Amino acid sequence: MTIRAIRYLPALLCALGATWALDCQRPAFAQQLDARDLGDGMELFQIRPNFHVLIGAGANVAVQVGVDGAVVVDSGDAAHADRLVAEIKKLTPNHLIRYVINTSADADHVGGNEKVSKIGKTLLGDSPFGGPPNDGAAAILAGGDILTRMSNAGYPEGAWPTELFVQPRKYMYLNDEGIEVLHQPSAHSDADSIIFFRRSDVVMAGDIIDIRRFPVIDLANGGSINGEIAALNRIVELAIPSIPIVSREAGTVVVPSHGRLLDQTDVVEYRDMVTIMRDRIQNLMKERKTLAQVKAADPALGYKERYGSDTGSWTTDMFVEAVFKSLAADKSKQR
Amino acid sequence: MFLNLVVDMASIRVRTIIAVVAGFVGILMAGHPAWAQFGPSEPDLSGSWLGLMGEDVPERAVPGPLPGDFTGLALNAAGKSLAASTSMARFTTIERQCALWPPQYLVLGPMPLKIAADTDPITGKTIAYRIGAWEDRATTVIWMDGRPHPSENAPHTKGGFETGKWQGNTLTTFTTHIKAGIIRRNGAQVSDRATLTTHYIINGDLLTILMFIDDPVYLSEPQAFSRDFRLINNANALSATGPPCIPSFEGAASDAVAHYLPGTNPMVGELKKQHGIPLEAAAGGAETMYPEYRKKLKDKYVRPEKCLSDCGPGFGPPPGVGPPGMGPPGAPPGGARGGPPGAPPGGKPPR
Repeated sequence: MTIRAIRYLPALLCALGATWALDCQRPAFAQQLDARDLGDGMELFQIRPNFHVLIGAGANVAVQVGVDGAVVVDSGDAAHADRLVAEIKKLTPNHLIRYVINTSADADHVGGNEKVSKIGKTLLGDSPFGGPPNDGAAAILAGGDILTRMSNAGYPEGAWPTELFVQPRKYMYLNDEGIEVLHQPSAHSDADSIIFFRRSDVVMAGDIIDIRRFPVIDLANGGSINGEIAALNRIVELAIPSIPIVSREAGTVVVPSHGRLLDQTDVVEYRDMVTIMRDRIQNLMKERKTLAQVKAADPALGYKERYGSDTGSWTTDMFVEAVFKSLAADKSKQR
Repeated sequence: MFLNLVVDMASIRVRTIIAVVAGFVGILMAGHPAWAQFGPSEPDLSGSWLGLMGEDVPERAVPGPLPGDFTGLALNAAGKSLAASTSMARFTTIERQCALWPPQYLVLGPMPLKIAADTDPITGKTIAYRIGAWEDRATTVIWMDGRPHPSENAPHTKGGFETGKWQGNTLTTFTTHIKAGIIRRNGAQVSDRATLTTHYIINGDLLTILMFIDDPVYLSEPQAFSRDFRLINNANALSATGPPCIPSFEGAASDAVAHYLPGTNPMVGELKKQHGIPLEAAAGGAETMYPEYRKKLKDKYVRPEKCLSDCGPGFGPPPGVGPPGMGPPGAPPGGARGGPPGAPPGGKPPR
């Protein structure tokens, strides 16, 4: 038996050698974006060597890993929190999560804050009042008035942001790259932030883009249509397509709050749609049409078939009404 | 006993040598996949294919389709509305200038095709065909190795994701993950949910590409396009990549979104003005694709007294007549879409 095995060993080695040689000759373009189906509607994309996006756990979640510890953007909804924690642990074997950054105060973005931050460890030392802040868990960073919103909504203290900022731009340098947190006042709401990973060249757009539907303009929480368009234009400016070598599929990756991964061209398409919708409704308002008349004029024709819905939590009717009221509020401010 | 052992050892050595030689031959063959191509052959799509054009030159190349002409397109109400509100000026923004046309432009545009095959080094089988880019269209890869399409969360690319299988002399492919884009260069478009079913039919040195576009958003039924190509002998005649694209400021701010408010597109009436085609026909729709529609149109169509454009050779338009801005450099202000240079002014109406 042993002698037989020895007989075929050279052939086996040669075959292995051949396999190695062949593997080296595979065309480079055969390498597609690495995606793994995690079941239960969850999917994990590795979009850069150290950058992962998890889709399907509420809002899209990003995990940037590196020597300084992981930075997680958004934490999904509460229902998926345990599952999300398990997946993040696989990506960060030492569980060294340093930051959870929220792009929005909505439940599907902050629902897993407490559980995700607790498996991490803050970069900060002990506070003057005793132990480290947030009981040593990873810091939770957010722009705008998220804290008030979350405390009013009854979230446990452990889920609240531990680092808040109100200036337009906050920056960090972790895992060998600059990370910009850009607060967009009055877009989807008053608590939107765009997170730009400069070396990874990834933009986390949060609820400013929901590629499945018209953007949700949360008027009750400070959102506005013109702020939304300004935020979309900012993302267009941040993203760079493959220019001048246009035949290459490359460029900045833009991750919306929900749905598929995007590039600048996709964002321009979405921005154009939102701008045209605003212009159409604004024009009807100039003709002194009431809200009911505006709705009856069907300003979403041509777009509602792609982004609209008659049912669910955000219908075409609700979007048209939000744009109308937002523009009316802007007009009354100008008076 | 000793003799048997010697024979056995010799046998082992011979077998070992054979195994080593076989192994090295394996490595050598790995570097030369062509050696392995002795299996049953299948047609080959690779080569340089020159586009054949005739009366479709104005549509595919210059001056391009007439503004407001959506005839023969299976647009539904949403598609008609979007097409009528689209201003081609939107393509002057920095972000749009180099965004490229979608993969269906393969059969819409005038450009030739440079197609290369990537083969598996072990089996010699074709893993993929790569349709080279042009300056306004991205590379399209047709995967032939049976791989599944990506999930709906994967990015939509400029070239889309295309898989194919030969059936006789026809390569039938299915494309998903495309970006929203035009189906006619005057504003008619399909959404990012559209899919393409394409048949690459080889007949000698002729290639016919027959494409069906399905779009649940903007089309009421599949839209068919076809185009013919001829294989040219010089394999190096065409480039597999397009030239670089460098956008420049053309006067449109980057946040400007050019469009027409509903009912305000002045180009919508162009087909009626030029050819007497009623507005309802110019707006397109599945009905306008079929011959029976002529009966419906019969009582509404009034033939113009004079041909104003696209009159064919010898039937040029009178000077200064025609849609503005459609003529070549130096043409009279009214444009000159129809007749060839030197055509008699005010030519006769077409037969």
